[in-house]
Order: sequence, then C-alpha cells, then structure tokens
Amino acid sequence: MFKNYLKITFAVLKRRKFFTFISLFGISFTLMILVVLTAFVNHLVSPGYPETKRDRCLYIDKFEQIDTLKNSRRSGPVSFHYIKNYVSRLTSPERIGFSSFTNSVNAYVKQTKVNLFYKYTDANFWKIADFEFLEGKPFTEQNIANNDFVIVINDFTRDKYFGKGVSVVGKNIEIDNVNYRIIGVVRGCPITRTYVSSDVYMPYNTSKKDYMRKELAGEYIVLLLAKDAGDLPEIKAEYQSLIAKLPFRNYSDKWFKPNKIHSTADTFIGSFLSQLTHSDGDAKKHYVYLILIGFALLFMSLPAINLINVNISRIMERASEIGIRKAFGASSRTLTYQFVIENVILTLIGGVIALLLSFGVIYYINNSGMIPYADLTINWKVFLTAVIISLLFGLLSGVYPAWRMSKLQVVQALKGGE
Amino acid sequence: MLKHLFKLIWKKKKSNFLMMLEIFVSFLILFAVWSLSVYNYRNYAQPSGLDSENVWAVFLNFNTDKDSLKIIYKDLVRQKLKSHPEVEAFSFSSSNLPYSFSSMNNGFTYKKKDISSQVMEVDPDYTKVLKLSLAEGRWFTEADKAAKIKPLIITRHLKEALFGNENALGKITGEKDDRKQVIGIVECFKYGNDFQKPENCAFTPSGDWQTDLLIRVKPGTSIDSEAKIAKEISQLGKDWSLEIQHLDKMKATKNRIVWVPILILLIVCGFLIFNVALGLFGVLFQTISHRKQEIGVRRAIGATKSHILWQFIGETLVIATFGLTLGIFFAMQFPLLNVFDVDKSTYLLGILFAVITVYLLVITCALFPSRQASQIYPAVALHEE
Repeated sequence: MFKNYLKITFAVLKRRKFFTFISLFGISFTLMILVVLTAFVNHLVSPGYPETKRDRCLYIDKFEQIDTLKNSRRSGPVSFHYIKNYVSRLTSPERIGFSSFTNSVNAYVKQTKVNLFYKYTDANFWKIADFEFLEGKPFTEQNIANNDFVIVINDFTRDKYFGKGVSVVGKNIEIDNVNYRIIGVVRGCPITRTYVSSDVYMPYNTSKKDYMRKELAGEYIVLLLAKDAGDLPEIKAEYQSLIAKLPFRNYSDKWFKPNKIHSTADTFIGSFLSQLTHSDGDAKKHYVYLILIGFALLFMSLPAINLINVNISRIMERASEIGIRKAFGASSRTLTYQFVIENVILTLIGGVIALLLSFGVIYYINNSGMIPYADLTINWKVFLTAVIISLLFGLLSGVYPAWRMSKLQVVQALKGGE
Repeated sequence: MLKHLFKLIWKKKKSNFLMMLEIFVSFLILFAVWSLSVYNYRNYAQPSGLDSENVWAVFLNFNTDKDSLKIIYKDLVRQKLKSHPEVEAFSFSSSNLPYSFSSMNNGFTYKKKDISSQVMEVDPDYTKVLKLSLAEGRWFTEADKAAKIKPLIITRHLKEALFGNENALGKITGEKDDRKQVIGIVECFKYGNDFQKPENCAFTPSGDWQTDLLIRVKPGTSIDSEAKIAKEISQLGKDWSLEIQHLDKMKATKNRIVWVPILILLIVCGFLIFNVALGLFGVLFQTISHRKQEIGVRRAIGATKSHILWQFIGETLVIATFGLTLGIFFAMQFPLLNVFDVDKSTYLLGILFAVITVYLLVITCALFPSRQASQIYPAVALHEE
C-alpha cells in the first residue's frame, strides 16, 4: 500500500514541475535555516573542544553584593582571596579551577600589530578543559609555586608571532612588557566558548595586579567539575549554603556596606540566563527551550500557509481522481491518509535537500573566518531535530488540504472541482 | 466595477481565505522589516558629532589603588605624550570611551525631574581630540576645573529632557556638593555606534582616578611609532598595563554588532517573501486557468483583452486589500500605543512602504497569469466547454 502511495507521489510530482519546484524551494529553505540555527545553538550550548566535560561543569561567574539600605549593588567575577578561602572549601566537586575573564593586549611584531586575548589561570584549569597540546605541556602547581613566568599559547599566536608551524617551546614571548617562557602550544578554540577561549594563558601569580588583595570581588571565574552530571544539584546546594554562611566583612570601602550576597553556581546555559535574568538561571532553562520552539513554529507558519495554499490548488487539480476513488468506495479517512503521506514524503525530500544545503552553509561559516576556529557540525542531535521539524512541517501543511479534499462530494469531484 | 470586484471576492471568501491570511502575515513581516530599516536609517543619517579617524583609545592601568600615586603617574604620562611630535592632542577620560563596552550612568536633577544620563569625565582637550562642535555655549577650560560648581556640557537630547524649551545655559542641576552648571550644548554625540538614536550624554571635568586615554595622532602615523609610544609609556612605571586600540576600528566593531543581525533578518525575511511570491504566482496561475469558460463567455459578449487583464489583476488587488486592512489594523496599534518609544512617523512610513511592497508583489505575481488569461480565444475556450 505504502509503495503504491510512493509511486503516485512521484508521478504527481513529475506532472507539474513548477509546482514541485515551489513546494520544494519553500520547504528546503525553511528547513535549512532551522537546521543551521539548530547547529548554531548546539555549537553554543553543547560540550565541544576543549570543553568536552561541560555537562559535568558548573561556573561561578557572578558575585553580587547588595547594600539594601542604600539600594546599591556591585557585581562581577570573584577574587583569588574568595576562591582560596571559601570556594576551595567545597567538598562535593571533583576539581575546582579558575581563570580570569578574557582581556586583550597588543603585541608588536615585525611592523604589524597583533591583538591577543589573554587569561590568567590556575593549574587545575588544564585538567578541567581538555586542550589538545600540539607541543609541550600545561603549567603545573609546581610552576606556580616556583613563581615561573611560563605561558601556554595557541597555534594562532604561534603562527602570527613566530611563523607557521615552527617549534616554539622554550622560546620567549613578550606580553605587555613582561617576558614569558613558552611551555606549551594548544590548538585554538572558538571564541564562543568564553570560559576557556583565549590566545595566551598565564599562571595567575604572574598577573600585574595584586592578586592577594583581600576583597571578595575580583577578576576570576570559577569552574567546578563534578564526578558525574548527577552531582550537579548537590554542588549547587553546597555552594548556596556556603554563600549563606559568608561573613559580611567589608574590606576597603567605607561608602558601600553590603548586607546581602547573591551568587549561584550555574551550568553553562544557566550562567548565561543568570546574567540575563539576575536570578538562578538553571531554574529558567525550560523557558528558553519553549521560546526557541515558539520561534521555530512562528518562523515556519508563513511557509506552511504558503504550502497549504499550493497544496490545495494541486489537490483540486486531482478532483476527478478523487471522485473515481470515492465512487469505488474509498473512505474519507483513507484519502486523508494518502494525501498526508504524500505531503510528508514531499517534505522529507525537501528535508534531504535542506540537509545538503545546510552542510554547504555550515562549511562556509566554518571556513569563512567569521568565527575563528568555528566548529559547527550537524551531529545526530541536529539531524534528529531536522527530521522532527520536517515531519511537523509536513503534517502542518498537509492535514488541512487533505481534509478539505476528502470532504468533496463524489458527483462534484467527478465533474472536476468545487 | 470596483464594487463588483469586492462582491466577487466576498462571495468566494472561503477559498480566498488562505491567500488573505498569507498576505496578512507577509504584511506584518514587511511592516516589521521596513520599520526597523527606516528607524535605523534615520539614526544613521544623523551626524555622529565626533571624528574617530586617527584617534587611539589607550587603556592604561597603573595596577594601583592609591589615588595619590595615580596623580603623579598621570603627570608622567602627560609629559611623555607632549614630547611626541605625532601626538596632536590627548585627554584622559573615564572608562566609558566612545565605542567601548563600558558605560557610566548618573542621574541629573532639575525642578524635581530626575533624568539618567551617560556621563563622561574628561579633560579640557577632549573636544580637540574628537573634534566636537558646540551648538551653544562653550567647552570648559583648565580654569573651570577648580570652580566649586563644576561645569557641565550636555547633548541636545539631555537638554530637552531636563530643561524642555527653557534656555539651558547657566542653569544649575543637582544639590549641595554635587552641583553642576550647564555651560555648553552639543547637537549630538553618538558614542555607542552609528545607528544610535540621539541619547542623553554629559561631559564634566575628570577627577584624578580616570586612567584611560584618547589620543589624536597625525594622519599616517605608523605602527612602529605606535609600538614606540606604547613601550615608552608603559616603561614609565613598574607593573603598568597598556593597550592601544584604534577608535575607528572600535566603531566598526560596534556597528557590526548592530548591522549583522539586521542583515541576517533582512535575508531571512527576503526569503520568506520570495517564497510567498512564488506560492501566490502558482496559486493564481491555477485559479485563473480554471476559469477559461468564464473568460470565453465574457470575451464572446464583447469584453476586450485589457478588460480581462484588469479584471484578474483587480481581483487579486482586492484580495490583497482584505489582507492588508486587517494587517494595518494591527500595525496601527504600534504608533497609537507608542510601543518601544519609537517616533510615530517611523511606524507610519513602515506601514506605507509595506503596503507599497505588498501591492507591487501582488501585481507582479498576477501579471503573467492574467496576461495569459487575456490571450485566450473565445472560440477555443467555449469549444472546450
């Protein structure tokens, strides 16, 4: 039976090529845009090089001190003092690492100016982020204890500064007038992975700022790695109880006396939402998915209406065929099924074209240098989303025309039209 | 004739419903796109009020918290910069430099009004660095910095928000220790990006803790001199960090943040509309070819080719009008309710352009099928019957 429907579908598609083109064009472009968008969102939120353990990570990147009397607040990343004396007391995470927010600095080489991003990190950072070392190794606790001025650079910096592909471990590089010895070269990562992306990485104790400053606010983001994803709620809870017990000690400012502290350890998406909503972002995750789905449906609605319109014209053309089938006893339901299946087949063909087009677009985005080191991919998650979207689209645009057509009166249908 | 067409479409409203719905949705999309374009174009067309060519933004950090040291360090930097022939003018500024990602807002009070505004704390030479031109009054000088009531220069937008139609020059805002006197007005100052709407901004003399710099250099200053200046400044003290960025590049970055999403939106909407156009074309082609007999009869009793042509174009236009009427009803809510605080005329222009686009689109789609219909020979059409 299904084989029969397939045959009929292809016969119909071949009959009016212009209509087939309109339908396929609409379907494939709509789906392509959705697939590329899904790939992009997937690139932003899913684990990827070098944050392959993102599913097991929590981030503390915002620490808000509130003075409810004066109604003033200060927020930002945290200090080394805070990490060392408070965060490191957490027992539930497997590892605790930190890195500074990314800043940039100029390096002048051979009459050109290179703008480099830099981060200060601790040794655990390299055990939480899985960087691929092209050469050398990361710095360790020992380097920090020895106060070594060592640096890890990425391949972009190496190519710009020393030349493509040369071996540079052991050479010196000057960053902001300070000399560092290169200890390792890593493969660079896209800037969209903000917690780990940078061009050069230096030990936190080589920072020009007085990192021992006794303040809570500072310039570091904390990365907490759990043994497995199931431990995340426990770590979150432990961090909250730590915040609750935090003393309101005021270190330097006589104008600002905080009496309330707000900070959460969030998953990657959660930390992004926390910034947006000024509250615990992990609790709001499902809203984002709802908004994304709503947006996709809204975006699909116009092409879907268009396809319904085209489908109706196409089906009316086949009125005599329907009349004959009805006269020979086909029920309304059989006919509806047939047309819905036909339409789903059409959308699936469109889906395949869309997938091919998306491969092209994604290849272009990855290679155009719009986002350096971009690694957008169509993995099974994106692919599955694409298939579901295609089916949804097919049903959305197929049901109404099929229903209208199956309602046709036999006599009228045989006469050829409404 | 028109009344007749309306009657025809109304009779077949059920079968034309989807087409109207499609035009309605397309209109809303076009309305959004046109309003956005008009809004951004209008802002873009306004002069920016500052010249970012050959200006460097220098992010300097002495890595010390002591204000007394900062004063000494800043003097060292000033002397160094004055000795360089490439430097035309320079000014220390608070960290909210034009086209930077930081901002600093403060409230200004006048007659119980409290208006929040961007505040830039700068040196007297700031106006030379950015080539600002004043619409009224004057810029502050070194002598003004010592005054008990601090001088203040505001943008036209802030002046209107705070003082309305009154003459703002000489007016004093704030109370007690925080009093400031308006001594000058600049017409506009687009510090965020070129697509920024006129906004509140105020300039006031800097204190001792602002360590970021703007430097105007001679045109054609090479990278080598830049490296030299950077090195010389950062070697003045221990533990100083310094980064030089070019203001025109910072502007380009900030502009890109605005226009890239708009461009993507335009491409996606363009595709949607093209899709709708193809669909309309197909459907019109189909419906018109279904009505051969009717055309045959009309031609036989004396209708000319152009009669037929205009009848079909007219019918499509009437369908479009139904969809548009509903669309305009919704779109009109935006200017009426003053949504997003955008100028009413922007919305009205958006509606106008969207209506024109829809009509053009519909006529283009209807032209070919209608022409084909008008070419039908009455004898052939009637013979088929």
